[in-house]
Amino acid sequence: MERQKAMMLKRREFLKLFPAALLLPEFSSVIPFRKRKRARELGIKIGRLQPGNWNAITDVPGVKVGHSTIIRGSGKLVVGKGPVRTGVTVILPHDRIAEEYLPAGYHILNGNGEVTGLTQIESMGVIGSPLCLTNTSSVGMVYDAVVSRLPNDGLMPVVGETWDAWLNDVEGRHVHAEHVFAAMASAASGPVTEGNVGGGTGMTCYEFKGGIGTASRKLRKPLDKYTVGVLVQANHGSREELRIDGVPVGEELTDLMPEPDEASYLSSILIVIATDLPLLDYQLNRVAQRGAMGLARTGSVAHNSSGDFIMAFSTANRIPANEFWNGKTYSMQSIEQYDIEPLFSAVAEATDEAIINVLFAAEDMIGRDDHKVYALPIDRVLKIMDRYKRLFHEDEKRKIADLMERRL
Amino acid sequence: MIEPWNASRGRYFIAYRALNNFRSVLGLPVIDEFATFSSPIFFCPTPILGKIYNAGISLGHKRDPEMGIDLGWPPIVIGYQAPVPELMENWEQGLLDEIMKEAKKGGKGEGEIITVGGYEVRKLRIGECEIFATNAPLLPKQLQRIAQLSNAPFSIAFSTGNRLTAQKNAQPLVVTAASEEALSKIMDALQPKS
Repeated sequence: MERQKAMMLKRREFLKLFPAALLLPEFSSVIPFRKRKRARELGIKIGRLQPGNWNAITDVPGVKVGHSTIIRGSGKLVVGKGPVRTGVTVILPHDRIAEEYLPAGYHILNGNGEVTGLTQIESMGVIGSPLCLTNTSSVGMVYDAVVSRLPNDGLMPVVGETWDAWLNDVEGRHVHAEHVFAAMASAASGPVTEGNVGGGTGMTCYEFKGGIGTASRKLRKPLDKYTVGVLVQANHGSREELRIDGVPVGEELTDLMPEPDEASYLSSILIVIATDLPLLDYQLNRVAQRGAMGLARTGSVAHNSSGDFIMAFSTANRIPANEFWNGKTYSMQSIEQYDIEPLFSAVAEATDEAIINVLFAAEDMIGRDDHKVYALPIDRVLKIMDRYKRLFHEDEKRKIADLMERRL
Repeated sequence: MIEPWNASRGRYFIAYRALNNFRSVLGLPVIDEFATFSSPIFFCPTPILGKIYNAGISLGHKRDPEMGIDLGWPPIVIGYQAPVPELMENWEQGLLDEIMKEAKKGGKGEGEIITVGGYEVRKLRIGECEIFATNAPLLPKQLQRIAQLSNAPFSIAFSTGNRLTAQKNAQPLVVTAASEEALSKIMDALQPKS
């Protein structure tokens, strides 16, 4: 009861900061069920470490995720009217982020994109707002919405983008403040909806349908009480590059290309890494770099036209804003540099699996001008993985065989 | 040489800023990666950077033979324009003995001393390099902002305010940071006089 009361209080505090979150407009902020299974459920086990309870960024205590998904209209593109296939995803590091900052770092693997607030992370090493992921043309609107609910003289919001113009009326700028507030209000711990949701709604990944994905890992000893979680908005890669658990799946799946086949899809990815391991900002820069290793495992080479940004934060040290700005000093905890090693492989694994989870969750989508992007054909992928002996556990193999019989 | 002398038992935060293709310096990648150092900072004529770097490696072993090489590595060596000194036979041993002697003796140190907010910042210019040394508990990014205040081709800032030591069983250690207000006061005090 006491715990419930405390949670209610926390929610009230949050809604005080973001009151418009109570208004739910015409879009969906929650998708209540999942049609496709995740890679791990189907016997694809990436890496050696164990995931957390949800295999999601929300396995890091305090971290919440919410989406606003806007899907409206069909047919020919009319700028300002649609069709609309977009949204915003919000990662809330903790409920009082505007009042208690967290150390943060970042890495730009290829900088053809936008993430606001990076100069502040570069200079001060902290974040003090939710992290928002959306489409390229909506960065300003999302930024403005978050700023309107932050204290004066606070820190800049972190808002990142990828380009969903192949499916979405991106220039129509259909993401508005109420979508941001609704995503914030829906932010929750527990399982995270993946695929065609939030900022990932209109994205394309390895020329299959892309979007949002997440995964987590428990660290190995002696850091086994800590967790790292990753969430990605994946809109990158060419088909032939795609590798799943080392298997060159993309080289075998040469059909089901986006239609009509007239565009370049070598776009971008946003990767957000959260951990409860006590780390300082410069260490989090190093953590962010390891996110790139996970991305590379899925086949990406960070193309010239890509905006591949990786942000990392640690929830272990909450820095009260008044101490950060006006105290004399404040204290934090930090792992010594030689103890950080177990985190690196966990970050690479979780990033790898988060991207693969995007592909397993996202479904076919038809967007503007009837452009179509196909979902990853899971049944065929499982056959390929089986041929390469990368499906694990006999009992799961049996389940998969049954599944393949019935087709997904 | 500038020595945070208990470095062999821990590391300190450090940052640097280079302008105009300044390149007479060795030992920077580890600063880029870990934002810490645990070596003396050596200054020498640019043509003998490599020799002094090598002496720095020897010093690490001599000072503490049980110290892992990575703990006192790499030496930071910064060059300046000067004639190359005539190096006598066994010069490295002589240099190391001198360093050890001076270190044991201790001293008042050199450079301009600025006291602000109860902390001390020492500012010293050697050749094209300006050094800021402080006991204020500044994190690497804060030290970076201090280093950026200099108009010298190369500047380096380090703090003895946090000593980072190895921990058993990966236990976290406590790090202290100056607030933005405290940092601003230090930065204001260090602004070049117009």
